Amino acid sequence: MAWFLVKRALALALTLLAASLLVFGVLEVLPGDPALLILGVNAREDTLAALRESMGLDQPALWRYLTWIGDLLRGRFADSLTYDVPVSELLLPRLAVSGPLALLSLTLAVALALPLGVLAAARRGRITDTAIMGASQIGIAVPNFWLGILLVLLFAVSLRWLPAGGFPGWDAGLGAGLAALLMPAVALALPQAAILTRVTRSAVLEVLGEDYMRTARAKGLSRGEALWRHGLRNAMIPVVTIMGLQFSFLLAGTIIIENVFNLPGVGRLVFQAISQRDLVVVRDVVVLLAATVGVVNFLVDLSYALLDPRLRHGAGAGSGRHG
Amino acid sequence: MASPRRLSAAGWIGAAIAAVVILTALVSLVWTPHDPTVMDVANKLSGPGAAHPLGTDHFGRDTLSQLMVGARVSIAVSVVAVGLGVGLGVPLGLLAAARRGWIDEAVMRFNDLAFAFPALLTAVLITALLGPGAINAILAIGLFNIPVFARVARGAALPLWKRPFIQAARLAGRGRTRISLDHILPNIAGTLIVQATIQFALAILAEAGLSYLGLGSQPPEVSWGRMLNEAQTFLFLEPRLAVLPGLAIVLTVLGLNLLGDGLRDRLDPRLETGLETRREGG
Amino acid sequence: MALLDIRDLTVTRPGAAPGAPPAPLLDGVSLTLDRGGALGLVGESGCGKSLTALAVMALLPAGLRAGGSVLLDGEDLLTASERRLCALRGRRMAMVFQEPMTALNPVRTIGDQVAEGPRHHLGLSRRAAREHARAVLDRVGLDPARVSPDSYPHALSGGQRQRAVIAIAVACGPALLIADEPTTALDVATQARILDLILDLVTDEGLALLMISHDLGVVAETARDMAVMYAGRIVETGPTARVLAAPRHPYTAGLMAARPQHDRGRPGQPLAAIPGVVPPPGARPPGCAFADRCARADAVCRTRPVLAGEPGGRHRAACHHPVEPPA
Ligand SMILES: Nc1ncnc2c1ncn2[C@@H]1O[C@H](COP(=O)(O)OP(=O)(O)O)[C@@H](O)[C@H]1O
Ligand code: SF4
Ligand SMILES: [Mg+2]
Repeated sequence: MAWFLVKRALALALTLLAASLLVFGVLEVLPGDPALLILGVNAREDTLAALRESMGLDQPALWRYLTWIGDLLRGRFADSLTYDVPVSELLLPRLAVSGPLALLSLTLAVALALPLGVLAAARRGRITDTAIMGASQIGIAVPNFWLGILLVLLFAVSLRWLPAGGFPGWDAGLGAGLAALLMPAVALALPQAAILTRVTRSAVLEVLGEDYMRTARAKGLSRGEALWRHGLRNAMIPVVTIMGLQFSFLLAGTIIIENVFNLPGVGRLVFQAISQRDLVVVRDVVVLLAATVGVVNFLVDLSYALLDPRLRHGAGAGSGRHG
Repeated sequence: MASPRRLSAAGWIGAAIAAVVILTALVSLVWTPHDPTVMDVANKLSGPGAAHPLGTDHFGRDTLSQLMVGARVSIAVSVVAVGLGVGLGVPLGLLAAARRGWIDEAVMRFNDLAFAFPALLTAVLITALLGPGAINAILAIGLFNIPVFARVARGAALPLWKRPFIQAARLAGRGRTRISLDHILPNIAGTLIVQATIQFALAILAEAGLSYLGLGSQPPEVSWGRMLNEAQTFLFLEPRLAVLPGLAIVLTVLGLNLLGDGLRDRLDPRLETGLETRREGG
Repeated sequence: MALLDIRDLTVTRPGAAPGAPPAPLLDGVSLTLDRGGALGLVGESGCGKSLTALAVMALLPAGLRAGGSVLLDGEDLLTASERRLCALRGRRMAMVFQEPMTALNPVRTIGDQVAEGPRHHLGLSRRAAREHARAVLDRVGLDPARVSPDSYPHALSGGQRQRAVIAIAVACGPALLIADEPTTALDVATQARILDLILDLVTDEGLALLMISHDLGVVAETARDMAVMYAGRIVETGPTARVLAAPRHPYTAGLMAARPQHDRGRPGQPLAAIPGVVPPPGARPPGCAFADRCARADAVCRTRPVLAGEPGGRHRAACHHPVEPPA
């Protein structure tokens, strides 16, 4: 178990290293001079040079990379090019929006997908199954931002139950904050729930064909009891994998959804930073997002170990000794 | 039992929807009810009627014509993007399967890295930094199709290399490249077509997303995502403008997914799930 | 009344194409087993032995249909309600499967898996069921002091896993134990020990045993009566000693001849091949299904169906030209 975790942690560190190099490299080779950006095209050459020097832009690339990473690791963020404050100050209040949004939508997606997927598998080939699969097929085809627009049309414009967009801040109370996040979360969650439902269904169907399910039935357990006690935990392993992947889809989805609902979140921050060529913000936020994805996948690996004792005890899955 | 299975009813429906969308796009090349870019401010935001079957937008442009041309843009962008993924990803996957060893390892690590980034985020990054526009949207979407096809091609090719007829070809002294092209590629073509259908649907969603953000095709070009972007301003006045392009996207993606699932069932009834990038494919 | 009375059991699978006739997988299988008795069922792989067992447990794979009757204590299992069947499975009849590697749930401890039946059927509390499971595991040779009931299956050897599967089967004291090739997946030394365990349990608990094997040696060791199955039909039945001493069906004779001579009575060797293969369901000839592989086959064999022998103590073979017993 310990070895498994160490290996996973090492893989995570390597991925992050590669990701930060990639982001840095891409921003390095792309056109766009930060000094020029700050001072404008009409700036004098000597002013530009002075600014470049004070920003460290005249240093070799490797040195700047190491400084950047070293500072990040010590929790020190450089100043944004457009806002003149450290990136961390821009980031924190926005994380307080995007974090709850991503969590809320993942929760919604799971709460919807797991029961529906299990139900569809248990009723395989019957009308319930067909209906659930049909709905999920449509759900997969719906762009989340368009779903967001439809939700606004229905709940904000026609029914006037929820605000059409914006975020009042958590100071306005938990209820007001959640009300502002509800529609964006649903818009993000439904298409993901549609995918997760299909994954759950096929994972459960797979498990239903396993020998140990027959053993459970031979004990006298009913179909439902056997599925509940012996099938679900095994079926969860692929489902959790997909959930981990979906988290990164959700993160990316916030870029669009926060634009639809005008939410002051990380997605909107990175989108604006990109449009304004605020490369300092871009690289920090992108690495942060990659780190989040990496950590979530690490947690997914951890949950495998909880779900599957074979990993917990260090034996390879499916290995067995005769004799 | 081994006889080729027929396409399911859902598969046929998907094929029909896809055919209608493609046909619409083709027709729009030679004919649309109106010029989709011509403004007619006198008739702006008019509802469906005889002159404009689906009404007009805030500049008085004909919505039906815009939808037809939008189909063309969506399809063109997606075809090229998926083509990019196939063109670069499949050779990589074939190479990895044929050579194994460090080449295989390198290709797979590159894939893992690509999957570590949220695709949309990177697409936004690329289009924003290279500048918005259809070409850069194609690049950004195509980039993410490379690892997908590399993985699928490798996963499908690996078991083939153990099959007797491939072994025989190797014993006959044929090179790995020749075998990959002559024997492996035809045998994994079905799997690749299925994946291409699914990626095509995803590319349409991605293009719509980028254009909605203003990063895809630029005015005066018309695309479904752009229409949604512009419609949002008039959401309260004219919801129709936001609903119609979305329906077009949903219908197209739905059709492609149904077709993809149908083809996959026909190819291999054991596979199911409508998953996009199958991570465990390799 | 026999404990288990299988009469004219047929299992069919729906036709491959719509409109095609359903293919029979089992065709008129009749067997009886008395309380405390032991019946061996042999035949090559694919003859329908496992399907027979699953039909008795009413656990046929989805899509297969059973006809005829399977009477347990006079009660027809084929028409019993699912509720009733759940009450019978594990309590009155139990089954040990061929693959100990996959028959256990990898994510639950063996103690848990053994305790489940007793909780379900005997209404034991969680604690009492745990204690019961420890005792049963001890009984099948998994001494809790050495092999913890809290072990997961992956930590056990193949033989230990099969003992755990047997523990699950006998935990509620069933009257009928079906063992479907319980030793096939094990190495030779372990095979013998598992067979000994099954025989012990049968004698001690007075279980009736339906021992399924493709290995005549296993049947010779464990069963007083035997039945030989070929292509979904019973082709020969009788007391094991008499059948093995003087097989009357050419298929049985072929099985015997194919056995290696040096290890008589020792299990472990798979049947050496009789030339040819078992005809797949749906492609069985109109006459005797064995005709393509039989040296004695003639025109009659190929066209006229052979009548199945009545089950019972007497030695019978379904053959137009049975092998004559040696004078
Ligand atoms: N679920 C199923 N669907 C269709 N045919 C099956 C199924 N299970 C078994 N069969 C067929 O039934 C025949 C008997 O199988 P089985 O009882 O497993 O044989 P045995 O246990 O004697 O090796 C085989 O020809 C097999 O292909
Ligand atoms: S009936 Fe004929 S073919 Fe069949 S076993 Fe007897 S002799 Fe052989
Ligand atoms: Mg069998």
